[in-house]
Amino acid sequence: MSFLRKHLYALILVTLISVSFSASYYKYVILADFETIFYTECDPDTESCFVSDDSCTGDEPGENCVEYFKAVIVDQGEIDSMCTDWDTGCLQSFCTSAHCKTITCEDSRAEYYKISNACSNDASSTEE
Amino acid sequence: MNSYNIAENISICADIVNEASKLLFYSHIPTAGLALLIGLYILVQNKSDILSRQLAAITILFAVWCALDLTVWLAYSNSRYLMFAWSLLNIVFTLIFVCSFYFVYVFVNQKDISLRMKLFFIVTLLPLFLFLTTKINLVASNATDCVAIENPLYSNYYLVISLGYGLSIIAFVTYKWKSIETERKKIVFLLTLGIESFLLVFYGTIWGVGYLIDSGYFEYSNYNLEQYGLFSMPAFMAFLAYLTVRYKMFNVKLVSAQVLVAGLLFLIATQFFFVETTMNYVLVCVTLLIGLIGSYYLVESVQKEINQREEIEKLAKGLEKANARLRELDKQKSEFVSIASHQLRSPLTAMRGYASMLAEGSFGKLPDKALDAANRIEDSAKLMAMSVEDYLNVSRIESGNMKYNLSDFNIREMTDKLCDDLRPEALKQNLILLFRTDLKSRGMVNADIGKTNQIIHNLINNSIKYTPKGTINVFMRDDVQNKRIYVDITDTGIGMSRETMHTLFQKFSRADNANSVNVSGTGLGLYVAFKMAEAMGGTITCKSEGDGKGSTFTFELPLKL
Repeated sequence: MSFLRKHLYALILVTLISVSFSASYYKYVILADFETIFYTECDPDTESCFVSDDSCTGDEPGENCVEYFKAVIVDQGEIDSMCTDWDTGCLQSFCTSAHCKTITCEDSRAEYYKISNACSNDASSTEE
Repeated sequence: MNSYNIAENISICADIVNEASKLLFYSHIPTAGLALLIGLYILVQNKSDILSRQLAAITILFAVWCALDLTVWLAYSNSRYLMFAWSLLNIVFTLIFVCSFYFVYVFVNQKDISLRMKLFFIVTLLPLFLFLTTKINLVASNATDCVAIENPLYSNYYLVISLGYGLSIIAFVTYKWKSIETERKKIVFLLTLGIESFLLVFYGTIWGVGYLIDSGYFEYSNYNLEQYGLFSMPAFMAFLAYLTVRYKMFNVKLVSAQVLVAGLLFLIATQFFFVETTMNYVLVCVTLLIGLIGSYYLVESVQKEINQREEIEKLAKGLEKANARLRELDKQKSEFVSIASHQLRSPLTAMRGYASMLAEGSFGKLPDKALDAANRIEDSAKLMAMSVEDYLNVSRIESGNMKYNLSDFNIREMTDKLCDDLRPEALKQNLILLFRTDLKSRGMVNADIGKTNQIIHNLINNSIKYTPKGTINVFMRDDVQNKRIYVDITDTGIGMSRETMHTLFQKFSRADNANSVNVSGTGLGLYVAFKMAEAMGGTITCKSEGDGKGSTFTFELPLKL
């Protein structure tokens, strides 16, 4: 009894840590039970896109540095079961079959996924 | 129709990750390894010591944190491992802070933390464990940026909890500061400084860089600055090593012996690489075996010596405490005696005064029997007043409250006058009291007149008391060269043994044969005289040929020319 009392703290903590590691490994590595977010091209004429101006690589003055993108959320477990080695063709067909969720700039989930870029329909942040 | 190019995304992500210095990331390995090695080594040396266990826990957690952080970097293209490692980083980070607080608590209090406090730790950590694999911890994996998206709810909670434990260390040490033993204060301060520096740098880089990137002050590519916080751990380990060597925080002697032994065995083992013949191989094997046995006994004997030393240190500490307690009790006793003596002196003065007035006939002529009784009251009160005065003097000397008013005066004249005053008393006992001098100087001294008078009076009076018949010689001499003056009081009294002489100037010490002559002594007179003489730069010594052969007391003072 005194042993249990003396080592109760260590026992609880070691148990919690072990369970946490195991649970995390099972969820993320074995099941791949989480979402993955990608950024992809977006047409500002037809959609509300996020605006990025930090991808400018050109040296010529006046070169357009603005890029438009939107976010795509996929279920990691489903991708892995269907596509291997980041097969672009497979992924394209995967997304066309409605497994991907798209987040455009007007989507209220943007903040949740920590995408804080300006929107293309905001006149001040677009270059026409 | 959307056109997804995940491969391109991963490529961008790889570019960002590769911008970070490889050296910086691979430095996780030696940093974690060093911390782990030191922590485990100390744990192996002091398995049952709770302090060692906590230090080991900190270093193991730190090594785990480094491993997870490295995994996050290496697994940038594998979001499964990235999410797994990232989900655990925050909780391990918080545990380092909890264990650090535990470590300092045990170090300061020198005992284990209470069960209630441990449960408090678990309660504060529980939300981190419970929501670890939910979206409250990680929302998703971001393949473009190679990061996991953290939920601010979880990340803010772990940052607040970690900061709370980190700052609690300072608050706890400050709160306990007064009760920490003086000799431990420095080491507690240095340890707190070391561990706080490590925690604050570690926290500052993790939180600070993240905050600056999120706020837009830093480019995203600066995220690898977070990694520099790791290097506070080797600094902390170096600090611990310094404390170990400088303040013997852990068994440094044992550590040295084991390092020496390991080095020797390693050297012997390297001979295997150069062995060419079977005979040489056997010889190296035998040498190694002997070395192993010898090393075992060497380490064991060092361990034994350390245990003995610790036992002695423990005993010495106990004795020191007991001694301090005794000194305190002695001081309290002196104060009590002082107060009690003061209270006794006042009524005694009244008793002596009225008894004297009764005897002198101030209240009318008394019958012979009443007169005899009044005289006895006066004599007894006088003796008692003298005893009280002795007690008061002892009390003043021991409490350091005896005042000495030093001035220049002629000790020869003083002694001469004292002899004249005491001669009638000596004559009453059929004793001859003589005074002679052989002074080359005028006999000037710089001392307290009253105290000097009291010392000489006391010494001559003692001689009168303890000399049944014969002569008392008071002789003054000086040593001009060494600037000393001496008053020798030689009698033909009861003398004393060599053993008695050794204890004569101690409190309540009386000669074995003293009661046969004088029964009223307290044994404090010579002690008081000796202490007074010492305080004025002089001393009192005593010589005797033995019981019944008389004695010579010499009072010595610095001479003023």
